[in-house]
Amino acid sequence: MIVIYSISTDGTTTEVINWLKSKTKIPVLRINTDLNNVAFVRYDEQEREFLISKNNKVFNLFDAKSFWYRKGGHLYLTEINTEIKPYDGLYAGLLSKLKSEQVSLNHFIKRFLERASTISLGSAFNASPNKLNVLDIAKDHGLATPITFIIDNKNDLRTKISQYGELITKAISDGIYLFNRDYSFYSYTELVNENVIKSLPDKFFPSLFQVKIKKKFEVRTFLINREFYSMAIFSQRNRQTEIDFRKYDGKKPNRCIPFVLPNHIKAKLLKVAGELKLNTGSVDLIVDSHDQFIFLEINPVGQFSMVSYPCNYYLEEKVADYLIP
Amino acid sequence: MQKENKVRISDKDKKSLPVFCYSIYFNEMISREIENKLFTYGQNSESIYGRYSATRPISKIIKMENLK
Repeated sequence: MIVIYSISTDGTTTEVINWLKSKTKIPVLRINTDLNNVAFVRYDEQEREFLISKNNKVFNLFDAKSFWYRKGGHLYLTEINTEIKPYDGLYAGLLSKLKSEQVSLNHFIKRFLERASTISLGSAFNASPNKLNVLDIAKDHGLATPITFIIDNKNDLRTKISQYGELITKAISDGIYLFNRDYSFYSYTELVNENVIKSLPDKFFPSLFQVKIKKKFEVRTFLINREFYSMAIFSQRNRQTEIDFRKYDGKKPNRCIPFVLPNHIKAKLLKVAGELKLNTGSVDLIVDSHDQFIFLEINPVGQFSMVSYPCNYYLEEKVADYLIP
Repeated sequence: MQKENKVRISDKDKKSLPVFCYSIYFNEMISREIENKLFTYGQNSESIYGRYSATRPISKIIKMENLK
C-alpha cells in the first residue's frame, strides 16, 4: 500500500495519484487531514495491526510499503467530548490533556508510516524549518546568503539603509495566509527604503530585514531523489514582481524557462538538505548581477507544479515513480 | 495578479507588528453559490480544485462576468 498525507484540495497530490493508478495496481491510501473522515481503530504491535478507517473502510498501516508526506496537519482521530466537567479546576487541564493525547497519536502515526515504509518521501517533522537556522546551515556549507538583520527600531533600520542601500522585509516564520468567510489575507516580501522608513514608528515588533539583491533572475528548484529540477524566473524587470514574484502579473507574466544549476551549487544544496534531513523540497535562489547564486530558503512542502508545468519536467510522474516500491 | 486591496494598519497598531505586516493584502471571497458553479465535487467529496476546507471559502480569482 502507498500512503499519502495531504489535503483534499491539493491538485498536485491528485495528479501524482493519477500517475500511480496508471503505473501500478498497488492500492493508494490518501489521507486528507482537512476532512474528518479518518478515525483511529486499533494499534496492536503483537498482531501487527495498526488500523485506521477512512469513510468507514479499514486500512492496516502495517501494509504501508511507501509513504509520502505531501502536507497537512493533525487528524481528528477520535471525538473529544468537551462536555466532561468533573471538577472546574480540572476541566481546562483535562481538555488540554485530551488534545495532547490526540497530537501524540498523530505524531506516532506519521513516524510509524515513515519508519515502516521502505520508501519515504518528505516528513511531517521537518516540514517547516526555521528560516534563520536554514540560512546559517546554508552558509556553513558554503552558499552565499543575503545579509540579514533583525531590527526593532527605526534608528537602527535607517543606519542599515544608509550603509547597505535598500532592504527587503519578510516574515521570520511563514507569511500571512489567512481566510475567513468574506476575505482572504496575504503578505509578501516587501521593499524597505528611505520612503518607507518615513511611515514607520520609532519602535516596532522585531522584524527580519535583508539587503536587497540586484538580481539577474530567480531560480526555483525542486529536489527529489538527489536530483534538481530548476526553473529560472525573469521577475526583475517587472516592478510588480521584482521584489516578490508571487505578486503575479497576469497581463504580463514573468518568463519562466528550464534551468540547470551548476554542479557546485547542487553539491552544496544536497549538503544543506542532508543536514535538514530532507529528501525533497523546493529551494529559492537568486542569481545576482555578478552571477553569484544566493540561497534564500528551502520549503520542504512547497508547490512544484509551478516548476513542472512551464518546464515540462513531469515532476508529478517522477514523484509517482519514486513512490512505487 | 489577483485583485488585491491593502489593509490599512493604524499607526498605533504598527508599533505592535513586525514591518512585513504593514503590507497585508486582502481579496473578497466568492459565495458558495458561485463556487458550486465553478467546481465539481467527486462522489467521495474529494474535490480536485475547490475550497481548502468546509469552512474556508475560496477567493475571487476568476472574473465574475464570465459566469453570467
